[in-house]
Amino acid sequence: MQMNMRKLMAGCAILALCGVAPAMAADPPPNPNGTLIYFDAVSNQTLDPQEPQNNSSFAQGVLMAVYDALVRLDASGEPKPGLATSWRYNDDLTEFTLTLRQGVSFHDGAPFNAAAVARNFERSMTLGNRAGAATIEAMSQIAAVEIVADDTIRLRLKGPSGQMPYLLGGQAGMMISPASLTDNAFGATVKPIGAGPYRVHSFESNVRTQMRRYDGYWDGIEGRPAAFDHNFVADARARLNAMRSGQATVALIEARQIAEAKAAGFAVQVNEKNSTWEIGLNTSHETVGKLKLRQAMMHAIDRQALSDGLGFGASRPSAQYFANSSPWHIPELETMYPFDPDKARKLVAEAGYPNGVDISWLLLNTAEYKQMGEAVQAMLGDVGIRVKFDMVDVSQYTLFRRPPPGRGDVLMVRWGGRPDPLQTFQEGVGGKANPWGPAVPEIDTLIDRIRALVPADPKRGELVHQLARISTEQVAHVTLMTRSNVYAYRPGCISNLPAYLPTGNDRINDTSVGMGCK
Amino acid sequence: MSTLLYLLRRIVSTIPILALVGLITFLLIHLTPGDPAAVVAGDNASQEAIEAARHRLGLDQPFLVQFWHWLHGVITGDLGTSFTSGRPVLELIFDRLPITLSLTAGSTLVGLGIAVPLGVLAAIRRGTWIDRVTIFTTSLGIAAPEFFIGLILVLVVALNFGWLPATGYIPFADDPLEWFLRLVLPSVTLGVGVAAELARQVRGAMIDVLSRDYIQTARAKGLSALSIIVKHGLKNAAIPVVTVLGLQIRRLLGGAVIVEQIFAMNGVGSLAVRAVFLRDLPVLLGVALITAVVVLFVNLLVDMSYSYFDPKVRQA
Repeated sequence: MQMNMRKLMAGCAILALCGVAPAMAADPPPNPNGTLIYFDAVSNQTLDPQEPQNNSSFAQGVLMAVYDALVRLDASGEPKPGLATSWRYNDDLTEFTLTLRQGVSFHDGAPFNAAAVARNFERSMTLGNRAGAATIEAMSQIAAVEIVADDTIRLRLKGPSGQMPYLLGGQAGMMISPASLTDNAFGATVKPIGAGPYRVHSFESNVRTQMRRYDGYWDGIEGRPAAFDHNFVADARARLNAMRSGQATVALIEARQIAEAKAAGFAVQVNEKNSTWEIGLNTSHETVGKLKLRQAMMHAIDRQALSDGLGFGASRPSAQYFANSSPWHIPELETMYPFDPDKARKLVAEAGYPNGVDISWLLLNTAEYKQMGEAVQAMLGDVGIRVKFDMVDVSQYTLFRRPPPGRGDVLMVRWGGRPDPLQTFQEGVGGKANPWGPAVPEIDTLIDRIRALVPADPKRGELVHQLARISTEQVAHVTLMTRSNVYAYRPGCISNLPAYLPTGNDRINDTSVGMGCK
Repeated sequence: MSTLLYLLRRIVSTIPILALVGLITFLLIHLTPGDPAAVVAGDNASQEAIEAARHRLGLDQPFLVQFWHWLHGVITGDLGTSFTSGRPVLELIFDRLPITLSLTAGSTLVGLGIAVPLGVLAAIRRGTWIDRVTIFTTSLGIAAPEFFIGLILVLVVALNFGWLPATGYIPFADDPLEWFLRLVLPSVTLGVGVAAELARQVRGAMIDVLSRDYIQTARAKGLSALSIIVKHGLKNAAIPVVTVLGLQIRRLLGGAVIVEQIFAMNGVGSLAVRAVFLRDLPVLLGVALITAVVVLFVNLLVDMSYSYFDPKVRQA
């Protein structure tokens, strides 16, 4: 009941931020013959969910349309039945048994059954290091796959893990037709045949994916348009221009374009995500390794000003990983480190730097990152934390994970969120993925304890909250503000595009196109 | 026969140039900071996954070995496979080449369509207000960057008046009319600079030609003004104009990168930009090579055209 209330509040928070309720009330009936033409800022190199380029939290839009996963994560990220109708663990969490949905077919007519699931797992396990990180993470926990019956499959795990429902709700659980999984099929050579609501009609890498509704979809076709065209257009201005000249039904725009889109007569929808601007800290370094200096950073940053100046109404100040709309959000963490430059200066001195301190910051050389970085640089400089930027581009991303000595005492990332809240901590502040180790050993201890609990266990939720508190108290990371997906469309043209928290993308494959909409 | 030999000699002479283009591109990419293996291994990849990707892509081999493998592939007609999409480079480029070639051809037509009449008019009305306006507007055309012209055109023509689409490309085979309509604004955007440069060349060359003795003779013979300009003037003024037009091809291919972004056209330019960001070495090398081939081919055409416009060149 407590969780339901949280979800209700989360839903209200989304609506409050978006201001979409009036538009939703006036939604026209969906047009089953319509085409959803979406202009997106993100593309896919291939349509193989296991290919590393598709590991990004922001590259899931088309994949979710083509492939259904064994577990469906609901809007707030809770595991619900998908291609698997139910699942159970054994007592020591070393066996995970899934009951599969019956009567489901892939787009090529092949039946979805235990053999198909086993083939998918075998293939993903064989890929090893070639797969994306999410798939590697899931497959590294599986020792063997056993077909129990035509509709039942059992995964024997290498050790206790309660994370499987979450992991199989992402790319690792996306099922591909066995006919596509020929020997050595990988990336571009995998035919994109899934069991999702849309089948692929044509695909141009990094350009466009044209899809047609799959009328045999197990969850029904009600509200879905006949076709879904996903277009990749890197330039935000070109995306909005496409809307203005009637070439797109809906476009992902940048927050700074909200006023322009509204002035052009479009409805603007802001979907707040479990996505944040984050500063990662090298807690093993002699400077930011000191808690007082990290606390000084928290007090030095005026999150409200950042949000007002750079969020354009689509961001909120935040001091934690989870957005207000998330059930994992803890309101009191927001007041733990108020903006207080005087206190920050005092803490810098107490940390042993009465004359200030120099730190190196790995910064991605995109306009968005530079703008945010420069604003924070000024705020930190004001309290004596002198930031020197070390500019890198996306191909140097490896530096973000393993900065060489002397480089990257801090770095900034646009965090896209993960299905499992635990994954967020594992990748963000845990000792396994974090190149510098945890800020305090307690973080890893808690991660291990949570990992051994199933999602439905109330204890898991308590420990996740405890982990969030410790991470903020110990300043294991510095969150700046939330980020949202902002959509523009003609009023009444689009419906059912709610915020979806498990990934950077929303489930635009569930979106309807209104009657009379081009 | 001599023309064939000349052609053959020119084609053979391009081979070392192309090899040099490949080597320099290879070198530049290797000197640039960044790790293609990290990109290929994807978001949040482990160090082991990155190293496995490096080995798989052959990036752990010495520089010269990598270059030799690429060169060997090129000789056998294989430009390699994209690091990121896993598709053959040649296929990727040929998929997008029609877009960039349509844009380049359209811009050239726009450039010629504006430059020739404007340049001729300015030359025959030298010193008048027409000439002065031509000089002023061509100065503006040369100075105005493509992104500025493109954005203004989109704002006014596509968004304000709704006369033409603002973005995208439709293949000719799918819908010839839509193909044409979607090319108009990008072609004008890119063609304005070409028109400005060419118009000045046409004006200068025509002024020079119109002051020659044989033009005076033609006038004395009573030939019409149109005949003098077209038959005697333009043909003789063509050599410097064609030379500049050939040079503009490089400008067009470079400008296409920006124009493709503004108009959301996924041509070779946008392919190259993405390849740079992702350090997709085979794609970058392929684009550099194909671009060099196009430029060399255009240069060859320009050289060949000299003999058409000037019989003395043919005899030489």
